[in-house]
Amino acid sequence: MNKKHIQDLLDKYFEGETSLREEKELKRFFRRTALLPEEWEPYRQMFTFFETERLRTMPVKDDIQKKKNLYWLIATGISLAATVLILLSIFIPATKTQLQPLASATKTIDTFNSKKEQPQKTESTKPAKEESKKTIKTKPLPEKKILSENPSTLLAEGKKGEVQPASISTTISNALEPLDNLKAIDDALDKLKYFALLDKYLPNRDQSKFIKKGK
Amino acid sequence: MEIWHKSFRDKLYRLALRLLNSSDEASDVTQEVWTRLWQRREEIPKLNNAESFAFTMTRNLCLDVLKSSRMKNERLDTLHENTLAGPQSDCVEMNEKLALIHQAINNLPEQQKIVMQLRDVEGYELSEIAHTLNLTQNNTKVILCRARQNVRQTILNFERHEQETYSGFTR
Repeated sequence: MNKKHIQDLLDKYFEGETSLREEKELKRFFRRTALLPEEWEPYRQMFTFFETERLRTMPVKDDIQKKKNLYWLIATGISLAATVLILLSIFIPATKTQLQPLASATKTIDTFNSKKEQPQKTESTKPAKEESKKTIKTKPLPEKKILSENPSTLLAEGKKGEVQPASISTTISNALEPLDNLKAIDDALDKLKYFALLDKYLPNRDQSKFIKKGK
Repeated sequence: MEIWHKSFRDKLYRLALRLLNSSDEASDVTQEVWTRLWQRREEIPKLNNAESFAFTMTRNLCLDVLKSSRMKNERLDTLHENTLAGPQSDCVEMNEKLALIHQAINNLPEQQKIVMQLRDVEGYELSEIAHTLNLTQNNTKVILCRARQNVRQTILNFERHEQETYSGFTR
């Protein structure tokens, strides 16, 4: 490629007359030729610039993806925490409300075991209620059934009959029963100690018995 | 279809970058164009030149962005001030000479930038560029010619300026 040819191409280029093929030729020439006339050096820079620009790709895509991923992570984290909190807030009061009737049920069972007058009392209070609500006469029967089956409702009635103090005392005494047992065990142990002491101070007691038997 | 290829999206990105001079904004515009194209994917096969349709869309969006934020579009009077202010942060590892070319193109009017980008960088035919810009082929050629001469002028000016200031050790 002679210099004149390139000069012609350059002139044509700056007039906007070159074809795409000729422009490619120029680019190739400036890329491949190491030694150039000094006045052409700027053109080499220009064509190099065009070629490097063409290699540019959209870089931010990855960043956007990363940002999206990060947002996603944060969002899922927050939502997970929120759901856990909501579930907790639903279930903790629920368990509390479920536990209460159970506890009261045990109490009522205790009261049943200890005193059998209470059911009568509740039944005696019941008619009074029925009298107050005479408009609804079909309901009391199922209520009675519930009463006999479900102890928790009985307790509710029992509270009205002021049976609670007694039931508490019985439960306390029941709870203390093991302690009594412990005391008994302790006493037994003391007795054992006593026997041990006897063995210590009267070592020949049993032996003498054996000897007597042997004799 | 060729316009759905990633390399074509990069072309859109490069055009947007040429006009907006900001990688983030250019990416946003490209993404926007991409989604709009996708929304109209039924119509695209009917177009006789889908690429120039996409380029036009990109150009219009870029001009909208430039209109809304003009601070980035300030044209500085002399190239030297520009180069002293430092090349764009987007131009990674671009040497001083390439930065000079970059600034020279940067200082062109939008129309010239677009034509130069599509012709000298992307290698499109004048007819296609004319279609994109809705101009006649002759007009496009004139714009291209001016763009090239402007760039050459700024480079030569810079060289002369450099030779005046560092007259001691020119190459």
